[in-house]
Amino acid sequence: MSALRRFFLRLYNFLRPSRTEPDLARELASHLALLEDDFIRRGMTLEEARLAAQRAFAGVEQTKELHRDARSFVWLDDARRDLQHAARTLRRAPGFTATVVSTLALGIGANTAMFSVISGVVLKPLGYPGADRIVAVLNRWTDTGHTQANLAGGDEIDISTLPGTFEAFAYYQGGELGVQVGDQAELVGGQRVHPDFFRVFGVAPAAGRLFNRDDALRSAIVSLGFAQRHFGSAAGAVGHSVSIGSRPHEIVGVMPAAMRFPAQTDVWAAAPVEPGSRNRSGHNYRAVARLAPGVSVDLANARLTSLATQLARAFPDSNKRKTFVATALRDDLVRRVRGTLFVMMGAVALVLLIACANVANLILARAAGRSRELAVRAALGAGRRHVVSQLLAESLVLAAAAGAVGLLLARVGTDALLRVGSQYVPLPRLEDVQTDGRVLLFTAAVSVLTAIAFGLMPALRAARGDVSEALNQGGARGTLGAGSSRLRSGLVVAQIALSFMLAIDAGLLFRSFAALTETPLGFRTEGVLVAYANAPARGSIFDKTGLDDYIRVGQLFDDAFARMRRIPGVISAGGAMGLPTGSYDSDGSYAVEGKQTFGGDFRRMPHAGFRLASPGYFRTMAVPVLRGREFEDGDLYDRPFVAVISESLARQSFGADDPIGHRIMCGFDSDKWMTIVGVVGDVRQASPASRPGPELYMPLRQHPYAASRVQMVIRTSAPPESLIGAVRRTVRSLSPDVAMKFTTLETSVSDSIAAPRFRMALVSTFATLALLLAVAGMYAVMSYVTSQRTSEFGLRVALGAQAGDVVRLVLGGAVRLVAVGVALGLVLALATSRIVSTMLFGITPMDTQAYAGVLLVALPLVTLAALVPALRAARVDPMVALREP
Amino acid sequence: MASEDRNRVELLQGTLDLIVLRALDTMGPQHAYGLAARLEQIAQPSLTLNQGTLYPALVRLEQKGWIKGAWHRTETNREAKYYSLTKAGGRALHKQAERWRRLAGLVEKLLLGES
Repeated sequence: MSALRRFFLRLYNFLRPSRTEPDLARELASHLALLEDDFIRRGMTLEEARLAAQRAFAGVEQTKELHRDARSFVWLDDARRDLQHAARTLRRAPGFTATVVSTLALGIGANTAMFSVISGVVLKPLGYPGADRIVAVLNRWTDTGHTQANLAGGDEIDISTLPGTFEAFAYYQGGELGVQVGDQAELVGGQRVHPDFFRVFGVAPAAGRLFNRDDALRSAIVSLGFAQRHFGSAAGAVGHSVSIGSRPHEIVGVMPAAMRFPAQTDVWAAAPVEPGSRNRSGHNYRAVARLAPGVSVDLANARLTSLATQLARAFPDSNKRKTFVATALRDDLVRRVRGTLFVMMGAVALVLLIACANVANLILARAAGRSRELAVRAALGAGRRHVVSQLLAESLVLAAAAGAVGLLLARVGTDALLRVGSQYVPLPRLEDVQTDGRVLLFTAAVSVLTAIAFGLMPALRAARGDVSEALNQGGARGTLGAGSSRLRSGLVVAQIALSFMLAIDAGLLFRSFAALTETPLGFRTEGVLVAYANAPARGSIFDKTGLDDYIRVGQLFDDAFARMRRIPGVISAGGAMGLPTGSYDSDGSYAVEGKQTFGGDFRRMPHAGFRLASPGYFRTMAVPVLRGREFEDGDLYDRPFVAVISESLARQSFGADDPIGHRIMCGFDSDKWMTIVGVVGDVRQASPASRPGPELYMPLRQHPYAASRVQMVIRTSAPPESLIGAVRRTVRSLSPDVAMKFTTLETSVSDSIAAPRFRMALVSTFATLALLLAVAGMYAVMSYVTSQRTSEFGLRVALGAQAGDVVRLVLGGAVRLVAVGVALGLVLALATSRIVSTMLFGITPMDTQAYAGVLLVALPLVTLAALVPALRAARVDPMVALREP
Repeated sequence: MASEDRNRVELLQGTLDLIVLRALDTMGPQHAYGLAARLEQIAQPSLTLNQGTLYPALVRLEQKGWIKGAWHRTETNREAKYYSLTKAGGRALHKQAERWRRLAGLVEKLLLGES
């Protein structure tokens, strides 16, 4: 019990040193007074007595120390003293401290920024109750291993009824919906969702209620933002009616901002309990689910697999190669970016490593200058451990300061990252990126690790120093130990190697990105305004009045194109369903008359992308018509069906033959033969990185059911954005209920290569930082080396060496370091090329131009860093140099 | 601090603690200076004591609850902290003295046996 009691007393004393300290001082004063009294009694004067008393007492301060040691945790007190001492020491060297802190802050800041993004996007759970039980259910093709989000309706029904697996299961479908509030039409993020959709997420409505089973096709739930925009408040929106696809929907509930799935959804419209299509070959539905209590993702997957096996046996035509997978929704959301983000984290960690090497070098240089100070301390009895802990304390203080500054830099860096990544990082997660406890913890941990990384080795080295040798050195500047110089050169070589590796990766990504931006797309992007337009068509598509209305909508768009062409500044205008890099896509099998029959085994039929286009579309996009003609105003629903094919499709199905006049059929929406009237050039459909493939174009007017949502393209002579107002007015004047959203073709294409741009921007930034650090490191080391050799250079000059000889001498040393560093860097770059190879487009990881470019820029830069000290060395006045102690 | 340093301190500590306890037991409440003077008096000339080293021992003993300090005036009207033995201190002195005697006897026997 006494051990425990002492422990608490000590703890108390450590925490409250101020309380016992005056008591001790008082006691010591009394002790001295009594001693003095004694001495005076023995016949001393007051003055003599005081001196004698203090001598007998052997140092009041020392006694206090002894007292303190006994009183509390010695090591904690030591640490506090070390840190205080370190702070004092560093304050006396502001230049050194500022250099180190800013170097490290850069590294720590970049790492913290990158980690903030990873933490928010990849690590943090989604903000729903029991978020780890929310899964996305995906469709996987067993033969190719390809996983897609869309399920077939029939499969979806079977999955949703798997016994005991899901607490809630909901399919959803959509992307954009034209929504009419009052007389105002708006194209908003919208989904048609199963009534249980919100039960999957466990989010309660901010106002109103969730969907019931009988809400299908007549009720909607809107986002808080939408409610406030149109009705002022959440409660104010409930009960109002909005028109979705020309059908009135009553707003029954408003979702709080916490409901963010799918990203940027403003309107969730209730869909029937069972999806409209029950077949197993059209994959049109996505699904989310909440696992039942006690059901793990693995168990759910086991049940999904056995269900898929049963279905494959029952429906071999459609389900033979199919299985289903449940993935945690968070992982599904970030699947695309996860790998890249971790690779970027690795890259930015390298930057910090280089910063550490830099700082270690600075500290080594400083330790060499302080060797006498340290030796004096050792001579006065400071143990080796004490010297090490003292130096480590300095490192810790430096790293802590750098961590604090780094945190500030990280705020800026994170904002920049989010700006660069805004088109890349999945949106629902972007808002989760913030400086929270996890990020602070990371920064603290990184700071401490950094302190150890750059501080431990120099500290151990310094403590190993021989006392008498250091003390006997004549001048303040000792001769350079061979070991220390080798270590410092090694650090510079490491910096150069790592930064070159990063620079080469950056060079590769840069070249790849340049290749992407320069690659011919098959259409011209500049000066094209894009308007996503959605016109509600009324009625069923299965009866005559419904069809008439769709045909009316088609005519409406044709009229709009005609009027737009008359707007001043418009060169041409047209429309399509399935614009390259746009948000609509469709593809499938086709048959050529006489070669294939439609139906049967779809896998043995040729495959193409399906697009709809208006007259004037190819002209507006500057897609060349290679043979035949493009679509004309006369290609209407009641006229012979026609099609235009891409060059690739012509090659795929007709070889060298002329395809014009042949007839083709596809599974897009009708089973009519279409006569091929033209061949157009290939385009890169999804993004500049995609390969040009076979495309089948059909006239918008001949496929009215799909033509109520059109991407209008308007080629302009003025800046495209300046015509937004005029285009909007033109369309509104024809029909006020057309919902529209604008962008430009350039933006659309640019967004489609957001991922490679993100990677390139990041790695280039990191590589630039790394190179600058390496240059600074090179400069510091060469400055130090030359300053150590000043007298040697003086001697050489005195003996007749020319300035050029000295410069050559210094540069020669530098070039050796650079050569070794660059060679190592190249080896590292080759070794890690596998990681970047997956991110490259159009070039190989061995791209000689990237390597050559980096060498051309970086080699002179690093070598020049040595030139300044070299020139300084050459200017040494021999008399001054030799006279210096 | 090297490890052999600590061993020496440890050995001295135990001894010093016992001496202080014993002095307080025979002399009654005493201030640090009085204790130091007393130690010098009985130990002379085999040991010259740095009076400062007394303090860690006092702190230790106080922390163990074996002695407790209180401020009083001396005959010369100086203020001083007087330490006195607590009950636990009395028991500890008894036990420690016993232990010390046994140990001393053991060492004595060992040394005799060797010579």
